[in-house]
Amino acid sequence: MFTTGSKLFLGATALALVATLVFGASHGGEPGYLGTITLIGALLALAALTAINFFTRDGNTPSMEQDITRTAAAAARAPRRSVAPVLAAVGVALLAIGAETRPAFFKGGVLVLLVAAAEWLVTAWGERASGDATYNAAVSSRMLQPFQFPLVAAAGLGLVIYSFSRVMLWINKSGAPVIFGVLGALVLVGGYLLASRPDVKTSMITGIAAIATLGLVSAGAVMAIDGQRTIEKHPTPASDPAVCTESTKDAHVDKRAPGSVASISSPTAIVVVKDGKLAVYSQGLRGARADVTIIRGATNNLLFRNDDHVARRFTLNLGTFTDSSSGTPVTKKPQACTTLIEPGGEVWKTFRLTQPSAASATPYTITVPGISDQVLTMVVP
Amino acid sequence: MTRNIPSPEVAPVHDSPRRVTRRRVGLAATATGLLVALAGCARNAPQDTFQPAGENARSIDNLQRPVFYIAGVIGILVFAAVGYIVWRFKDRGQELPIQGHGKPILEIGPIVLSAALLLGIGVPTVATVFKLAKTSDTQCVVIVTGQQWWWEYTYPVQPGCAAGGIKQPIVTSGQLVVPAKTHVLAEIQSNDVIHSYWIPKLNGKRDAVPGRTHTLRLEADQPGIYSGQCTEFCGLSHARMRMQVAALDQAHFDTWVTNQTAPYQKPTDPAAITGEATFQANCSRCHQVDGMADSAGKPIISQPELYVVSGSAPNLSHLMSRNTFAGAVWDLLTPACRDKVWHAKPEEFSELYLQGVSRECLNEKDLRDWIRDAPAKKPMYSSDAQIASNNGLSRGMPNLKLKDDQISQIIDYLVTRK
Amino acid sequence: MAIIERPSTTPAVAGSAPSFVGPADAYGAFRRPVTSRGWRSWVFTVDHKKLGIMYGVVAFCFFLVGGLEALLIRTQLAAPDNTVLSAGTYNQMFTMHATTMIFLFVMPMVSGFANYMVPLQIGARDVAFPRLNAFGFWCFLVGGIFLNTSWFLGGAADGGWFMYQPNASHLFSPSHGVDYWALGVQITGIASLTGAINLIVTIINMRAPGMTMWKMPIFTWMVLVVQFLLVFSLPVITVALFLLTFSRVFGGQFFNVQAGADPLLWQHLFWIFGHPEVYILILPSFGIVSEVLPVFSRKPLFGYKFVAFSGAAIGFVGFGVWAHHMFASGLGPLSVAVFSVGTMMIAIPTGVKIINWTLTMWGGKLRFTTAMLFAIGLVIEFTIGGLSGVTHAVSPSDTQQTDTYYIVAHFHYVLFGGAIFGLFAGFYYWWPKIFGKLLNERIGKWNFWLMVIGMNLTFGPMHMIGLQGQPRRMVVWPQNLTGDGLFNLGFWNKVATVGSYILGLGVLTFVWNVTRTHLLRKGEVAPLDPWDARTLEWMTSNPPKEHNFDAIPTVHEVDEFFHRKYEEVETDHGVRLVKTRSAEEILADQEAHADAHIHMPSPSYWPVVLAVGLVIVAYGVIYSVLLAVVGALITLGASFAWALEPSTADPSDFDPPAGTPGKELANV
Repeated sequence: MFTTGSKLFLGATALALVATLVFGASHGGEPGYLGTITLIGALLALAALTAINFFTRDGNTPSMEQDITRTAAAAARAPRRSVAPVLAAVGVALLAIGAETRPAFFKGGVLVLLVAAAEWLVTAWGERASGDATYNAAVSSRMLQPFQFPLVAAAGLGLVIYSFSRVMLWINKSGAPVIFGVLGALVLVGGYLLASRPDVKTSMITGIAAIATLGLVSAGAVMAIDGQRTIEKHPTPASDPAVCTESTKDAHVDKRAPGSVASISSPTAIVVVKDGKLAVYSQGLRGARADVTIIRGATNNLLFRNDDHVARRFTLNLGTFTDSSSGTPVTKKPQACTTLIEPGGEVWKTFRLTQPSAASATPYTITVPGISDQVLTMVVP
Repeated sequence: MTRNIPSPEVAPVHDSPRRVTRRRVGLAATATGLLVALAGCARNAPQDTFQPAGENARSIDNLQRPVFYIAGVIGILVFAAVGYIVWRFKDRGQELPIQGHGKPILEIGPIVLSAALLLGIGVPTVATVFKLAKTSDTQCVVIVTGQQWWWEYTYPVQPGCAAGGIKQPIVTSGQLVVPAKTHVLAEIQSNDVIHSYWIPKLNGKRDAVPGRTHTLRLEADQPGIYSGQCTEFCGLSHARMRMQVAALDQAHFDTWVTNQTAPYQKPTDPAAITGEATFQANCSRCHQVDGMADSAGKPIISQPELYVVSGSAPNLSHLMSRNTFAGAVWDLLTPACRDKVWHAKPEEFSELYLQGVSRECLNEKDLRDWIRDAPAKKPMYSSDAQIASNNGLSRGMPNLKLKDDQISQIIDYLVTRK
Repeated sequence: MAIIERPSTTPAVAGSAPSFVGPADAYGAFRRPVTSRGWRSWVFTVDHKKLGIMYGVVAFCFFLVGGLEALLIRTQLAAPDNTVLSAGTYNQMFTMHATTMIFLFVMPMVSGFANYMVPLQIGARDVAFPRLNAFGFWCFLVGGIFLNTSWFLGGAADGGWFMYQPNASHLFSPSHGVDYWALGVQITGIASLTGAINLIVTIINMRAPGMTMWKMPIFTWMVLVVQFLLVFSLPVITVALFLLTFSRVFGGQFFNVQAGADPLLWQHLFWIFGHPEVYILILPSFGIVSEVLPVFSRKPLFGYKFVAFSGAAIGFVGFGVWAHHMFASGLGPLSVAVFSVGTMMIAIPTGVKIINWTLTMWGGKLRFTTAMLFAIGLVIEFTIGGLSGVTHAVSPSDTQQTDTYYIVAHFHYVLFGGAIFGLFAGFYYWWPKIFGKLLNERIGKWNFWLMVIGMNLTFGPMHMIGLQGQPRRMVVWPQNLTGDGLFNLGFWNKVATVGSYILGLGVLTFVWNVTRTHLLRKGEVAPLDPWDARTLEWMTSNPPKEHNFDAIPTVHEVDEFFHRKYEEVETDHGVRLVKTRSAEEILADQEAHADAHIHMPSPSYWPVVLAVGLVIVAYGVIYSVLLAVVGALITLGASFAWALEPSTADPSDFDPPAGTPGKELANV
């Protein structure tokens, strides 16, 4: 009969063996020796501990005899099931992996070992708290459950959420909402069915939940290994200034341009491109205009509406400034622009100006790449 | 139990009739008090919400007066009912009433009645809401920007407003100059926190929310000056963030626009010339004076964004054409000159206002105090330690530690900025 | 009623060597405290009555603090360009005045009344979760102290109680005041939230046999509605406060315009909480008045179901009108119109209440005790506040009135003339129940009249000041905006200041009344049923025994107690009410049929430790992560200990030991 201690040492020995073999095979040369020797040492030490434990505890048949059991109240009962040894073994394994690969695993190993130690201590104490097994069981679960339940729940939920996120990142953009909706509906219907039948057995609910979780987690694992869907990268004014001026630079069209709730109301002005004509509308000033007065200091939001037949973006040309503080004059022509907007779409641009028009060598303008003859002026007093 | 318990048939805690009389007197006193209160309003309060001086405020007034009257009548009815009940049903040793929870029908009546009454108020309310939100009949647009703790006005380039429109933007602060009898639309923005623009005699208030542009209709029936205050709590000097609207008749407004857009006038007086240099050395980094050039002839552009959180400071190109300063709190005019302008008859007001501030009428004391140590006069977040703790940015004007003669020079210069 | 059962300690296997092991033997560190005297009996108590009293005492202390802040504000505003307070101090003063009065006075005072009275009114022996109840109280206390320590640690919050962004962001309010405010309100929010869940469960599950929902006393009804409001509105402010704390402490960008955010988000979040909050403050007082008026009119509440239902309706509609605080903030005409009409609808159920109170008095036999005077005072003053409320439901009119003193007048009529008058009615009405002594009625009348006159002098003129253009939150008002004539705004500002001192005197009269009654021992011992009351809480001794009722009564009527005393008798002159039994007889009858086994919850150390842990975390968030870790460990440890505690103390732990009369009942 194996006691929990023997099980741990046996497991650790086996792991040390595997680790030694893997490490020895994968690491050649000078740095490999030290590690291999250390691992062989650990393997031998653990094997010795296993042997000692096996002979002194597990093989000590007289201690298992009925007579003695009756007189030794504390040892009277077989140890209860315990998850601690396995947990400790996992912790050790994580330590080993972490030492070899990433520090995060090592830290995780330390954490798991600590948890295992706490669990082990309390279980061991609980087994000897009194001569009453039922009471002992009650006492140790009272001590442990306030920790176990939240921890296991957090870990379990974390796993489920992480798996779900992998699933959502794997499927393509148009599939994601469908999956999301279907899963949500399933949970709702399932919940309703269970709630409407109070006589359903707990084991059945547990079973369904377990199967669903298992399915989700394995799907998540598979999709995590397969990797995320390709996420498109588009040039920005910072990475490629030409994107704001050349209409052909980036063909991606943003289909969900107006992003925030705020963007549906109270813009500074509205810039519209229609039939190749560009115009700006401000509140109170009737009709389309070619200039707009923007004050400096304030954060402005311009709304751009594309009523043209092709996808358009709009560009803010924020003047020309010469900076001669470093000795040689450097001329800067700051720009900002949006992504391409499909016909009928709107987009929002937030910006703040600190310099008046008078400080700039060229006027502040609004342009649309691809329409070269139309320029709107921003007057900044 | 041996304790002596008063019989419940007699109220254990008893009221003497004298006290009940006192209560009635109290009620009567309250009612009289309310009447006195209504009669006891101040006359000519500059920000009275019941004295509209323009179309928009008048729509509000027409809406709110009946509501106040109805509320008053209902209030008096309730007081009278309670008063009567208190007198009629006080404990005079009468029989205990029968224990019933009453008839529901007595509830339905008032519910239906009050619903109908509220509907009667609701319909004109909704109509007025949409009427006050209209922007299509605008004749003149002004961008109004709030910042700690003053208002800036920018007249954008537009065809309307003045005869021939506004060709180049005008920037002023504190006092908003508008043509009277004209639909002016204020486009309200903010440079830092939320403020609220409120000229009670012209319209209700509208918040200046950073990142948003809100509109407010303003129209004055007659030339004159209309006071207002920032009404959204905006920090330390919220109480000292005021503003006025000066409405001029159209001809004088056109003159005002011409003056504001005129090219820079270099000072001719020697004192003012010295002052210009002192101003450039100490004030120009934040305060813009349009068209002013340095000794090399290069135009001087202020850079308040380097020194102030809000990124702006009042434009002083035509300081003496307005008659308040520092958040429209202090007068640039001496009390006598001020009264002459502020209490002028509508037909004379425009002319007097356009005269601006002359040397004789200048309230030099407050201006001098302000330039000497602004944060001492108006609490702002601009002490050296505060600026240092905030990446070198100030909120409000710091103490520039100017000497008295420098201050005199600056005033000599500023007085020429009409 | 068994609230918490002890687990069986009989060993499952008989005959094992150490045959009996009590829970305390296994983990002696987690024994429950048992002291029934001295400070320990208060600090570790879970008794709803003791907690109720502590809520009341602490809240009243904060009321005095908030009142002092109000007097300082009024002193500053007594004269033009006054310099009693600096601009910074003034801003802190009005922020903390509102915060204190709302979160540290009215809400906890209501919690106090609800804690004390609801179990008694529904015939229960305690609330459903006694330790949670204690935790709520301690959260409120430490939260309140935490908030007020900011005065001494760099200045209190200065953004107004509404903390509009970005004015309350780190850039524009760099002191720690707003951090204190956000965390302090968060902690007191925990108090309210746990209290709300507790009371809902208590009211729904623990009513005496026979007490259907439509036989519940109206105060309990209003408390129930308010707890639901709390449960639905507090999460919103919790989220908002987290956003605020994260923006300020950890550099979050939730309200940064340049990062694309919209500061109006904060306003929406704040007022979705803030408007129901108004009803959270006022509805319990409506409940108190709906108890007091019938007792002193000696008639049942007129339209009991209408009053209960209109309370629920006010609560429900109250969630849909938050934007009326934002009529000037640029929502656009459509939203403004919708919220304007929605706000008007609230006037209907509110009007129903006024009508019902008036009709309750109609045909009654009115006794003008102090409690009754305060109740009538509420009807009058709240009517004024309600009517001024209708004027700014008219949104164009509101754009003239909002952020002026007219609004200050309006909500002080609602909250002082409404909520606080209701609480004072409650003080005078329930004082003999809670403390066994009557407050002096003569001083009580002085108290009432001083407060009525003071409040009308203080807040009445504010209507005019506001309508004539004086905005609120102004550290100074200038002479040149006050207008002409004797009755200019300056005059009315002075009147308001004088009024506020009279009001302060009124509150002091109450303090004197309490001092005289208890400290000077001049209070008259209260008879068992001093007011000829109607509801269950009076069907027990004054003050009630620890287990409230010797026998849980079976309920047949809304006014159960009254109907046990009186019977309708047919006479020649029609039906008459005749008193057939006295309160003493009813109580003696109850004692004669006392329940044999009564289980009462034991005190506990951990609620107070847990609350202290939370406040250490809060200090840690402001000053040092290390401190926060220490606080978190205390919090964690206390929750663990809480979970480990045996559900009751061992009988042998009690001092005096089990077997002494009285204790026996509590611990069998």
